[in-house]
Amino acid sequence: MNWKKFFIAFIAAFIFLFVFGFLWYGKFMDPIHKEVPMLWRTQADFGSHFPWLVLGHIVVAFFLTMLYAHFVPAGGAGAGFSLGILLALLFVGNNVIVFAVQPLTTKILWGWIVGDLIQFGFAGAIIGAIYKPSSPTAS
Amino acid sequence: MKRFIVAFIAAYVFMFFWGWLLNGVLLKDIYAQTPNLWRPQSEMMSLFHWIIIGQALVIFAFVMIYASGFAGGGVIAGIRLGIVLEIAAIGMRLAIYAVQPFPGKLIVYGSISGLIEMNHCRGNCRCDLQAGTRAYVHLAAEPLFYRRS
Repeated sequence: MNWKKFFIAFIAAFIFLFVFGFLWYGKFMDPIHKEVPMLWRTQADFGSHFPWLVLGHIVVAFFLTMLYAHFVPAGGAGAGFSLGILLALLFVGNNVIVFAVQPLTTKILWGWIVGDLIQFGFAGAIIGAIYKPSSPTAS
Repeated sequence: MKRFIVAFIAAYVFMFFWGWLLNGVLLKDIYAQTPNLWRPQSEMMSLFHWIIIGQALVIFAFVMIYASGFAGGGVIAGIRLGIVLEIAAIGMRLAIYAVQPFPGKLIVYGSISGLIEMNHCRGNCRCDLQAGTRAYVHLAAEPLFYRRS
């Protein structure tokens, strides 16, 4: 494992996930989310739970990078993108289940689906473009 | 292809009943603490096909990750893949916890149940592909969200 490249890829993925998440879910989808206000924390409550949001993104970015570094041998941005899309499909499946049990609107469901595909696909591509194993045999 | 289908079906059956046991029975009382977050029973049942589709999509994606060669091969590779995906799922739960008023217990119990599920896989899997697929059920059940009561 090339730890230096791993760390750089992890930081880059975290920054992308966090910034994209803020723009997509926090800004673009904000009016859509407000159609069902009872589902979300209040602004003050959200502020007090903000560290959990940061920690969650750190964990996701770290283990997406770990997944790539362990299981994709020198694949590059294309392989990273493919892995990210497959991972996004896991969460898309979960989004569909959530739609069945929580009173989400269909606009929220589609927004989350598109957001997940973009977010994880590009995060995977970023990781793939940055991370290189330390030797050809490493995986 | 045959193994793919067998793995898919085995994982789906397991996931379905695990989801029911965990969310419909074990965590039922905790979900009841936040009724405003969930659809009424009748409305949820009218959307039940979305749960079926969602579960199928989740399992399909996991089997694709495994079968595409991302995880290598063998039971150990399947377990390692499942563990990594489970931890990624915990990260997603933490992020959701920040924006939705779930009881903290749901986050804890959901994450623990996923790790317990890994031990189940270790003792039961034979076919490599099935191993990888079953290693995933901890995440596939998605106990934080999937509620049937």
